[in-house]
Amino acid sequence: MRLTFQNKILFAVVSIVSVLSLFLCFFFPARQQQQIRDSFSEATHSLAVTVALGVQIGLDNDDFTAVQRAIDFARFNPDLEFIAVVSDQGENWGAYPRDVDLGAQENAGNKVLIRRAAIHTDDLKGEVVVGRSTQGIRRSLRKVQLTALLLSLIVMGLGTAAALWLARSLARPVRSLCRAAERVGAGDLMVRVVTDSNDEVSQLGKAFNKMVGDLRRYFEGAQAATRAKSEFLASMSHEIRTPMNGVIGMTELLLDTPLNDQQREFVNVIRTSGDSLLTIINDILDFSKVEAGRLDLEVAPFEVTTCIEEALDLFAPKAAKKHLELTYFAEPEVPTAIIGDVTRVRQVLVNLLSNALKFTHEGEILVHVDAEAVEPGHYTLHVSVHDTGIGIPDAKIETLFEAFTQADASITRQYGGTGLGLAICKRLCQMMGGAIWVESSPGNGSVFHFTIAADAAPSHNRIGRSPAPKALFGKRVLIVEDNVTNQYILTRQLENAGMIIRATASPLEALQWRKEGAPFDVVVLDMYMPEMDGLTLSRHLAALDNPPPMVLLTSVGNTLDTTDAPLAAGLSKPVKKRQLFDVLLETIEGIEIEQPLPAQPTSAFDASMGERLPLRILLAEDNLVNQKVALRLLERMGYRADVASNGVEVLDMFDRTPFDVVLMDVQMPEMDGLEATRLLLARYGTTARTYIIGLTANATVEDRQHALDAGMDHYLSKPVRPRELAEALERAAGWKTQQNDATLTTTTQKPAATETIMTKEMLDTLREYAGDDDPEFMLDLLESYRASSPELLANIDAARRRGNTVMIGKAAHSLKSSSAMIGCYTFSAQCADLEKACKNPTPNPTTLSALADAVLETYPTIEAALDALIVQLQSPPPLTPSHRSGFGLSA
Amino acid sequence: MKKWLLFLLLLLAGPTAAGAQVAVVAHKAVPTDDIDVRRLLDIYSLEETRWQDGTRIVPFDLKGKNGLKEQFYGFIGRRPEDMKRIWLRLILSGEGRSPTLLKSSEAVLEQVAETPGAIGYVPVTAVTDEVKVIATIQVSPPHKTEVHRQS
Repeated sequence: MRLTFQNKILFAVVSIVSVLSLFLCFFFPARQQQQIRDSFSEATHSLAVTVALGVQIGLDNDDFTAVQRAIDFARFNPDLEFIAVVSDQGENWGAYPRDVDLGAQENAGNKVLIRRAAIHTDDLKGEVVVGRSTQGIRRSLRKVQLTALLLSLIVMGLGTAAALWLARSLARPVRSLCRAAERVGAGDLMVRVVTDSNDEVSQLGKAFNKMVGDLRRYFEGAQAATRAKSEFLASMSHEIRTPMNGVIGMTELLLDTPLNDQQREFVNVIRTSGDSLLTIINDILDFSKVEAGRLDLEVAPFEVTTCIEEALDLFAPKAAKKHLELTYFAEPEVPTAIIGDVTRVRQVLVNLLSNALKFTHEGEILVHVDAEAVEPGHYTLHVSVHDTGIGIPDAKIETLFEAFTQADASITRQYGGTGLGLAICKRLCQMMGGAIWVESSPGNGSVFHFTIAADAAPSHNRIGRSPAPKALFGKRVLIVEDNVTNQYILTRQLENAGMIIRATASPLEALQWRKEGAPFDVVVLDMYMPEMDGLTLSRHLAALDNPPPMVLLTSVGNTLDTTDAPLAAGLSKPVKKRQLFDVLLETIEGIEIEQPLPAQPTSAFDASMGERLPLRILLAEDNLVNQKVALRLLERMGYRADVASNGVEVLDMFDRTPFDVVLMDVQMPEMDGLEATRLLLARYGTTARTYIIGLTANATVEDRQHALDAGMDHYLSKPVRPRELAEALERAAGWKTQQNDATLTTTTQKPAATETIMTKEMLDTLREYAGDDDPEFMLDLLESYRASSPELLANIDAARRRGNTVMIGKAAHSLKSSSAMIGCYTFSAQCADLEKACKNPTPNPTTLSALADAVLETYPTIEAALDALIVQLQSPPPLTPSHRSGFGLSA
Repeated sequence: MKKWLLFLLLLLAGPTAAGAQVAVVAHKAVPTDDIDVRRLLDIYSLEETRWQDGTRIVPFDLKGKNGLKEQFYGFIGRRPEDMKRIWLRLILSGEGRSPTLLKSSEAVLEQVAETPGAIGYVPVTAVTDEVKVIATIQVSPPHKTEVHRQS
């Protein structure tokens, strides 16, 4: 029975009371009635006996006064119906009333009670018959019954009331205990139960309070312990990073000096060891952050393929060295760009790739990406890394994703690693709304899967659908590739571009086809094939009539002498889709496509930098080793820097002379970098501002946020890499000129200021996403934004009129994301405010309306800026030096 | 006529025993000096309850069995059992009150003398001036009495 505690008590007590009162109602009156009946019957009988005695005495002793008295006595009885004296022969000896009909009286049923008493005299042998009317006692019997009924009703009422009170008073503390337990269950450990009486429930409450108190103490203790642990790990990793900075920095510098081969090898070992140590420290730091729940995910749009390609790029040389095919394929339904934390996605993928490479000695590694639209715009991105490695036994799979476990201790020795990688990956995937799992069996390779929940970045969505240049449509392509996966991927990619594919794994078959005269617009051939390598094949093909242009696929790191080969172009694996399209376009159509200059692989130092971009630099760093490293690095770039060892000194030195750049260590004695930054900004903020670059060993998002909050312009984590430092300085230089420009602009062209700045902001942002060299992409993006936004605004307006907050929220969300994409941050923030207001369960209509108004009113300004920018992009303007040297991602 | 009858009775009873004669006595104030046997029966059957002047008739009788009582009952022609039945019926129905039964003739004399409207019977020899004799029954042996009464 589904009853509450209170109702159970109520039910029990009420039933008991009801049974009792029913008993009371029937049993007691029944007894009482019986007594009444008995005594009535007895009285009647004794009346008969009295009369009989009187008659007997009267007859025997001639004393008729006795008869007279008995009769008088009997006639006083109010219930008396009749008295009759009858002989045994049925002779009537007299009666009262005189003419009573005895037969009729005897048949009167329960209305008259008849009792007899025998008479035995010389004159008369017979009996006295007395009849008494039962009307009186019947009335009193009814009275008894009614009284009992009334009494039992009162008892039942009182009982129910008492039961109700009892149930309430019992259930109330139990209920409050229940509620308290529920709140504890929900995580509120501050709950206390009121225990004001001394009953069992109160004792339970006291025990409960004590338990919760203990729980809270343990919980707080555990929290404190976790905090202490993660603080310890963070500070330990910081402490290790600082000397590591010295080791790695000095090693970099050492490598830059003339060394003999043996020395160079030793130094290289030091550097790689330092790098791996740093990786381990980063892993531990990451893990402790994840464990402590202090890892914040970035939310920014990024391109899925770029992210994957970047990860693959890291492993391409290693894969080439082990002769492993490293390929990837993204299904067409995968959105081009999603919103999420690119660093963390890449981290997971890099981890999985690193494992795959570690444990695979021959064969291939394939990264496969697909996506499932959970609802429009929301995807589950699914990435799988397939390898043909040693595989993992079932028993080990279970512990694979736990911290500090690897498939085997011997494996740790053979392959290295902290065993934290997969544990971190698991947490990261969970944080990103996904999961990670593996399918594997020994000898059959492994497939690691991970998923993340991701929203498609707006406007990118559509562009992602038609990335293939139209010029490739309908072109015939011959693919000669022995690796099945790779062949499949190439086929899929080129098919999606509308090309007509003929693919084979055999160079001989390819040659046969050509000999038969099959026409092709282009041939894509792999370098390494069992029958014949790509170069040889290309020579054979070139020897035939009318040879099509040929593109050779090679692996990174393999230096091939291709100077005399009949090749139109070469592509290094893993092949990137955009690159592939670009190369094919170039080959088929002869269109020149500017390739981004490959980064200089040799020295990171540009000694002329100091001349090119003169900067006055102040280095604020307390650690002597780090000072030396940084000074040396700067020297190699052609800069001489002044040194301050704490924040106070920084301020002192600024009093004497201004600097263009401050390299500011965040943690310094006396006054730390953040404080110094705040004071600097407070003092010099408005005029010729300094570019402040923070240096810290704590390489986390929060630390970066602290630095940026304090007003730092840039942020480098230790150990400082020369290239990063160079980039930061270039940025500083660019910023310096830009600031000068901006000062000019604001003084001369005040009215257009906001628009210009907005345009600039947009441009910068777009360049970060699209790269400098893709104005078409930027235009496309802007135009799609320009096309889609008015509809969203109209939606907001319409929904506001109908009071549909959900609609407003959706439109605002969409507009927020797309605006952030094109760099309209202020506007995006306005949209975010509106969206937030809509999510409020009880939205305030006036606030909502005001926010919606703000959005609707701001948009025209954006639109004007957009139009200006579109015009500017259509007729490419000269770019500022800062942008030319750009640090945006190159596509 | 009554005197004659009494005379006759006395005459008849004279030669047997003077003490054997029964006198019906009444309270002095009773308005009757002479009573016949039917009236006597009516009174003792409780059918007649008032004297002519309206005073209540209070009859007295003797308890138990004795010659006097037998002579009297013989005179009025009823057995004592019959009288008891009559009385019982009347008492039961509440229509009348039985005569008071006393133990001795002396008591009867005394009660009759004291109670207004009283009537009783005593041996003739016991009659005093306190009461008024309203009839004298000449008692002969049972068969004579029988004969006399029939005459």
